[in-house]
Amino acid sequence: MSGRKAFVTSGGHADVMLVLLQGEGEGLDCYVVRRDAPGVRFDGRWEGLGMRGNSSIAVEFEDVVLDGDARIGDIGDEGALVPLMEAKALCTDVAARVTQGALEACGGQGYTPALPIERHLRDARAGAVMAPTNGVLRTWSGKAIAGLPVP
Amino acid sequence: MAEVAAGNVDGVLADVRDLAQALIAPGAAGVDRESRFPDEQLSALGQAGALGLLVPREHGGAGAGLVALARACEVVGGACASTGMVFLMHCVTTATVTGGGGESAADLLERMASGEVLGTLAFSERGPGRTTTPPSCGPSGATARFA
Repeated sequence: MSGRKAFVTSGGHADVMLVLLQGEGEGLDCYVVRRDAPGVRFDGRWEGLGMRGNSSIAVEFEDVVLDGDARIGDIGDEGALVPLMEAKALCTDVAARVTQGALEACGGQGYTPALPIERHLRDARAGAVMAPTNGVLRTWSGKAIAGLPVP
Repeated sequence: MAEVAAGNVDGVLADVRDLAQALIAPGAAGVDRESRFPDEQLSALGQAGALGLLVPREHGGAGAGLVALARACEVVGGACASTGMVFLMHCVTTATVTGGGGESAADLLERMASGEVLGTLAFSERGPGRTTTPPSCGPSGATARFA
């Protein structure tokens, strides 16, 4: 397997990662890949606005040999898809709104590291842009509710 | 920290709350300021049995479901968002391995439940919302098609 993944949480720290990849035939496969497997290389350093300790970095795969027994089987349960998509968008939007409200309630002190508000605010901003972004999720939810294929 | 018996969900959640107060919240500003990966926090969560929260009991986990995970994430993420995200990704990895099975699942789940092996997902592609098809990863030599 060769290719690249972006924004891998715990990148360079986690011992194993599950990788979604194009299978040899149709459809996607999911494999367990060890961090120290030959051909696995993590790239860069996480410099996000918030979530600054989560090491969300890219990984590059070059001719990584996949073990047949490291393949993860069918994991689909699409019945819960719409509630899950809506929950992610709703909760992360609420977190952004609540931390903005806390900032305004605390005035100028909240805008400095004297209080943890500014950190919570930066951390909460990650939610809306973590893939799939909230805008994408709302489009998919609408399609699913209308009986159209997602995505 | 006492060793947690497999299947003791309430005990794990209580220990997570204690850890959040004693270790994870006090360390959050430093993790943020130094962009430091929360190794110490993860190791303590592992000792408390929290990294096996969603792992089935027969593989050494607490056998909890998504409600317990939401509670644990609220506590851990409320104390330190970075630690919360790393914890969450590990837990959903264990749930995915549990659901997907496979030959090596049992051994991997036991090692993830004990905290010996930390897991994560590498699902995202570059660009907004690109968690789904088509992935840029595939058989070597064929990737130009997907790049």
